[in-house]
Amino acid sequence: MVKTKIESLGGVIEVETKKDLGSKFIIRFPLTLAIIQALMVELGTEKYAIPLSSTKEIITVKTEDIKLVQKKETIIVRDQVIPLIRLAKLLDVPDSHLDNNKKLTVVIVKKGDKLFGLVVDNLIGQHEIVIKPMSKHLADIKGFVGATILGDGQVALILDTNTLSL
Amino acid sequence: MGQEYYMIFKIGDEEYGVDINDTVSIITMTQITRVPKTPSYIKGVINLRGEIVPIMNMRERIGFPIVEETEDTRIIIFKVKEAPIGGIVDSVTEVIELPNEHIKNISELGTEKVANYICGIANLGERVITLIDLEKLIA
Repeated sequence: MVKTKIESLGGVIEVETKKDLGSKFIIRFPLTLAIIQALMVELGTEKYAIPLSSTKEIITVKTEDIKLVQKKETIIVRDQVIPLIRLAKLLDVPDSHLDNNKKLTVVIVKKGDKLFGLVVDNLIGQHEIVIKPMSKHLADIKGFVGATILGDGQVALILDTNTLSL
Repeated sequence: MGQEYYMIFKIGDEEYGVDINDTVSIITMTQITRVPKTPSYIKGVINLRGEIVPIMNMRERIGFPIVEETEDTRIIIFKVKEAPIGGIVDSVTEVIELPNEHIKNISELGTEKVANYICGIANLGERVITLIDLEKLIA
């Protein structure tokens, strides 16, 4: 019963039994069906999801606290220098009006073991989202794990901080 | 001689046709989510009954100037290499049966070479229909 249900979703179940020690049930599901926790952010009129597993913290930064290191914007958070990435610029988002803001919302994300601060326009909040694979025809587009469908039917892309060219 | 069915759509004043077996559905314009770092003719992705489907603008892909959408604007969902992809066209006209003897292969138009995604030209009385090979158009 469990096995057929799991297989109908494209997953596998493995059972490891050791005598006198008990059994281990391993259930694997394809990523395409995974439900993840994500932080929804807004850039201009567009919405993006950042997996919560790759976010570390969210801070607000005053523009005067941004320091330039070799012409790159950085911020200092608890004695750690973190490069700042204007996400709207990186993703060529039209009509993001960040530049006149005195305070920036920064989402600190992990890329491997490095930290980066992503500047976003607005935080929407934490959502549970279903990862849907990007189309085969867009397979060479880097920076996204997939897409998700929001409550209103809109599609939002899920950022992959590990492949995003920061 | 065999014959096949083609779906005919319009871009500007020109008529184009694709093999009906490569099409899935025709939908009206819907909200498109832009995907960064894609060629400009890829307009983004849509939610088609729970599936993420990329949408290209056929005008831009084929080299026509971009126009505002009208109430005739449609998205044709094609199936290319087993995966759906949508194309925005000015309007969808009809489905017609084209006997093979009406289809001519062309590789040159005057002295100019035609684009490699054109797989033939069908002549139907007054009408000329350009047939498109989707696999080459999307590759």
